[in-house]
Amino acid sequence: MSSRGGLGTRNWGLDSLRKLTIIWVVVFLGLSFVAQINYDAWRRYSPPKLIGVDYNIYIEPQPLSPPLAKAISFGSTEFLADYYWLTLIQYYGGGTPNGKYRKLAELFNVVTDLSPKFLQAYQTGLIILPGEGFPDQAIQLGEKGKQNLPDSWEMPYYTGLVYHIYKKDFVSAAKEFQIAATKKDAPPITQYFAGIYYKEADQRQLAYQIFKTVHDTTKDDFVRERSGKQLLHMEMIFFLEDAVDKYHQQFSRYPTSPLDLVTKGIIKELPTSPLGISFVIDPQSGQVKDSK
Amino acid sequence: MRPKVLWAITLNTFRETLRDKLLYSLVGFAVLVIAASLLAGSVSLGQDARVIQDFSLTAMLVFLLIITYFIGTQLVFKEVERKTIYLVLSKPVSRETFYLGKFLGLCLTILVAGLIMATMFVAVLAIKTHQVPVAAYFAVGAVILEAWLLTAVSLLFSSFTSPLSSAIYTFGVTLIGHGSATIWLLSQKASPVVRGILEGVYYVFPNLEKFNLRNDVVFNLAPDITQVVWILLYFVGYTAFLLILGMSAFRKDEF
Amino acid sequence: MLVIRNLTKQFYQRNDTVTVVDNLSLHIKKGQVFGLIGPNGAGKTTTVKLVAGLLFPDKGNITIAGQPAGSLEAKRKIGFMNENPQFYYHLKAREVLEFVADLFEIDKKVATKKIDVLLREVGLKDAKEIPVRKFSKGMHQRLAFAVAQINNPSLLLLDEPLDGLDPLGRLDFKQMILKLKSAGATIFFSSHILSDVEEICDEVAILHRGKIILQGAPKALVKSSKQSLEELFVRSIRHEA
Repeated sequence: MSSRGGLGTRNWGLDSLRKLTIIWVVVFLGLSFVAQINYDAWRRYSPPKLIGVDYNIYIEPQPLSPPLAKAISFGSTEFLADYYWLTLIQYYGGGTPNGKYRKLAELFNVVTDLSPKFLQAYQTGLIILPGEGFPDQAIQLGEKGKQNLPDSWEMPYYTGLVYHIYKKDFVSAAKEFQIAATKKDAPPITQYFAGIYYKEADQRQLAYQIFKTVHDTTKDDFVRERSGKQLLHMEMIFFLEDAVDKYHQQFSRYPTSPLDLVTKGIIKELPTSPLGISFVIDPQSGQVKDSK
Repeated sequence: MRPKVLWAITLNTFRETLRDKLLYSLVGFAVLVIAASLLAGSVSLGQDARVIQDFSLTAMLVFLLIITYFIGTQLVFKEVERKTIYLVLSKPVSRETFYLGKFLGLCLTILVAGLIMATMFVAVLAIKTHQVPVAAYFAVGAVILEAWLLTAVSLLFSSFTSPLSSAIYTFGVTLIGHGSATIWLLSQKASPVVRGILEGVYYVFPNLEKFNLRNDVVFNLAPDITQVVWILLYFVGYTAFLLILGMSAFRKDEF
Repeated sequence: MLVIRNLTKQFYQRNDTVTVVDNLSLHIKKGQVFGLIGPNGAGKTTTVKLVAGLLFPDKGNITIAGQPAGSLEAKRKIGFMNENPQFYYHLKAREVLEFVADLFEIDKKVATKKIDVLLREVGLKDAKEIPVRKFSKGMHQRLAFAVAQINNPSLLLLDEPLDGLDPLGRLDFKQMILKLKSAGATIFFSSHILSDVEEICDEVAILHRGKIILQGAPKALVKSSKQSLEELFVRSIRHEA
């Protein structure tokens, strides 16, 4: 078609050139888009090339060391802490196709170094890290939290939980809970839990003292009630252990079950624990324990 | 110095910088970042207030500083290049008045830009968290003061070197200024000679951490009155020092 | 009115020191129109800038109506128009003049009236609200001429005022200068367009390499040498070279 003169006429040559340009732009942009998606998928999901490596090195964040991060931050350390916090959430929430969250502890460290009073970061770390196989790092984080947030009850509390659940170190757990109980706003039941842990650790006298203190001083009805029950339970255990000693003196061996004590006439009747737990006796040591 | 003439140059500089497209891009970007902090906050596991405050205040600082680095270092340079400086200096305007007028004009621009960003910030924060800590306002004010002080720095550098070098040097001063605490700590542990040098650096370079009230906003720690007074005095003292240095250098310049 | 005594100005370039104005002395009386002519690089612009206070002399001094050049008092008395005048892009013609009026601290009402008058005189009445970035070169020069007069100066300093203008513009400018002259203004301008200089100046000086090599009333010079000013100019320059 030839172009005509005058206003409002099209120059066909220019129009098809424009159309062609648009088509090429779309094609090349689309090509790069498709290539990008496929490349990302390949990097993320292909098996690790290195032998003996159990993580996906491609999607790991590489946080700067805290001193370097502080130096370049123009003083906005809280901002950088937020940035690494968001990175952490994306990293953890993204799932690892190939293994452990290797950088998790480091990220929590960077965040808390940049923002030492970021309570939720410590709390989240104390909850997440042990489950992902980093209980020691969690405890380290807890120690840092206790130092930087000395008034927080959450720090020793959560640390105590890690000792309990992942390290089965009941004595350390109990100690942490005792510290937590001294902090302002600690839940009334905290001290009570310290008692429970000492009991689990067979530190019975200590547990008994704690339950007594809690029972006498707490303002929380539920806690008073529970600790009262624990007290009774423990008194029963002490009572039974005395009986076991008498049995041993008499028969030079330990009873196989608490009923023996009754049948042999050492005690009149078996006490019933207010906790609804029955007692067993360890035939080797004669120790009275809760049946599990 | 005559106030009316000073004001005429201030206003003219202000209106001139408003024409700079760079300014609009920067303010636009800052506003965008502040709005985007809403999004970032929503994936932060409940730390919305923190994220909005930290992102917005840092964005404000960064963009105001970019304005300082790129517009501040060109203020005098552009006048010379476009020869508009002849228009002014051939009139009964002292060199000092001209220099100060350029400074105040850009300060006015920074104030306006800062207020726009701050309004966006307060609006976003209020909408999302229904409360704006008092500390936030102090932090915003301190950011603007920091930008003004660095404007004086960039103006000083630009009076004896090219705009690009001035921008780089001013950036360097910003980094050192924020690292002053580290410098002080290092100096305390060093040998006496090094300590003297480092302490000198600490006092000579502007201590910009004084204007950093941004990290306290998250914990709603507003500065007390004594702190505010010292910050203002430091700002006045140091900025006046820079302006006087700059003016005396500029006095000898020929065009 | 304008007294220049033993004026010397040197510029330093890498390893060289160039003497741009060499022991120059001039005396311009009130009501005179004085033309400083010379080839490119002779030092005309430098001289004008020294009088305006944009440059500082190395030796010698300049006084304008008794005030030292470069002082604020002297600048109040002069109206300066530089070569290739430029204005702030963001301003309109009227705003440029208002800005300059503010620099002179002229009362706003007085300034507004004066601005209208000046714009009409330089032929920019219809361009009052047009932004200067849309101005042609001729319009720039006209506006600069208006700016130079805003403070009713005792001395008008013009650096190549007719440079680059089309013939109509040149004619307008010459007429404006002559009108000011008949009103008793003192005008000192530099140029290398000799025919214009011949038409309007009471006295001229030929500047070559910073020195005055010839000075006098144009008519007298032409008459005594029996050459046109242009021929005289070329011969003097070649002679000095």
